[in-house]
Amino acid sequence: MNPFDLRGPEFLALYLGLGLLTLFGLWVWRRSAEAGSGRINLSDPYLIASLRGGAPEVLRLVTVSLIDRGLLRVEPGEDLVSPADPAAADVVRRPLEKHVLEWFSEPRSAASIFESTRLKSEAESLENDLARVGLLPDETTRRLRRGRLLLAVGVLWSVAIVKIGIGLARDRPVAFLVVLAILLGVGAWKAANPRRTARGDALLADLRTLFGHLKQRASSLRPGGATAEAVLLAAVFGLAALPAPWEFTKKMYPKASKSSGSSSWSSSCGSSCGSSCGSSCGSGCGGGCGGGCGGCGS
Amino acid sequence: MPGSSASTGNLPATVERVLGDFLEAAKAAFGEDLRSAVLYGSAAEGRLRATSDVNVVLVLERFEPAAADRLREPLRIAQAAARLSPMFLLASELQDAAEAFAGKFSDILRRRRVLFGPDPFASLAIRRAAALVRLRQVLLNQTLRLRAFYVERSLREEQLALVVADAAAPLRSSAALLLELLGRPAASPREALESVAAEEDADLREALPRLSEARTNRRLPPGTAGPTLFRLLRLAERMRSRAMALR
Repeated sequence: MNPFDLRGPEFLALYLGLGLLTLFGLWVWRRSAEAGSGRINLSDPYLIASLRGGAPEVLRLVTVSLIDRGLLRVEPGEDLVSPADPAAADVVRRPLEKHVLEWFSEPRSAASIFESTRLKSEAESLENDLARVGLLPDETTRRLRRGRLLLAVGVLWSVAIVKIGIGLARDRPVAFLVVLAILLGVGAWKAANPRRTARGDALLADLRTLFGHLKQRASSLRPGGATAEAVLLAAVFGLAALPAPWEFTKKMYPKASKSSGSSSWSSSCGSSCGSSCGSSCGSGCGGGCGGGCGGCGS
Repeated sequence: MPGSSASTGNLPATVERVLGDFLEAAKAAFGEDLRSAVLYGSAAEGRLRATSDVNVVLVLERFEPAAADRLREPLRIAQAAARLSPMFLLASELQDAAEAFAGKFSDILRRRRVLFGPDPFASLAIRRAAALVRLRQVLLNQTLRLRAFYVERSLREEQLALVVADAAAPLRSSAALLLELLGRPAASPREALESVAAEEDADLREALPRLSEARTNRRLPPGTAGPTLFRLLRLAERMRSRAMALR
């Protein structure tokens, strides 16, 4: 029996089944291709934050870490960050930390940090390190993803186009099929293009297991930066995992401090936030950008 | 019984992994200067609790800045993931450290597992006189601290529960050392404190379940932290009296 001769509802059901199977196949194919082998030790909290939530998450974490270490200050109940120690930039080792200290050398709102294209670019450069070890997609991975996506969408849309042609020739309605084909195309794009590679997802899951006990005893953590426990906790689980002494982060980055766990960051979020913050935030979009990207990234 | 195998045995998988990674990092950092690595305390006897530290002593030939720097990152991961608490001890300091911290080293002698290299404690002996001096010192220190903490913090009862929790380790190791000096060594510091308390009045014995509860949960039922602290204070004073009577 020719499936293209099926009536509308039956064909839609068949097409949906084919679509879901294709998406599943695409997901399995991508995961097996990107799984990688060998263990990677990721001990840098900023790299972990970058893996989890991208550049905005890194900038938030650097700021909170510097406040925790007493090198920056935030007024209670405010989101205004100011320098705590004029010599702080000479104390820190990492260029990104130095530059964040320089950014806050005069009092600014915490979310203003997303306005700095220099800081954003430095935070994004961490993603290159992650791509090099296969945790985020590099150019080769992206090309392979595009190839798989084209194949999947090609199959799905070819079937849909043939049936739409037959439907139009027989004067039958095709709107549902068009919508379904578009939805499956979007689904295929999402299945083929997550922000992290399968290896990156696996490493993040592994870090959540490794630091699961730290999360459980979070309430016993004390501020001051004597250990890296708080910054690692926030890097792996998000600012929302920090206990009461870090309550100030809620005012600084409200959305990022409300949710933790896996990131739903996508490249569209990254670019829209980045560009709007970078280009037009100077006049009153700082808070919106910081908060908005927090929702995406955390 | 101290073991000598490289296996850590009976530890949660995460702790095993963290310990293994830390040990590899220590070998890479210190190279030939790392003589031995020894796990001690509750982790060594496979009785690690959620609130326990994972205690490790690295016995070194030298402690050089470049080598120490290489261990900074691995250590902060190990601290965060498993509460790993290291001691960096030079081989030449072993005997002095054992006598200066007789309580801790008696515990190491009782409960240890060699992770790497020869057992540096196999032939270590702590002089009785040194152990006695240290025991009295620790108990007196604990007594003074508990009194000060009570006055400072008892208006905030939840803070007092933390003081009770933190008093567990020194009191237990002191009890273990006391029993050892009395010629009646206990199987573990916890059992030693139970054994010492069992020889005291019923009111003092009531402190022990609360001590365990505070150690596990970092909190105590309302109204119990103050009386518990006072019982521990009396227990410390009693142990010190017994230590003072020893020769």
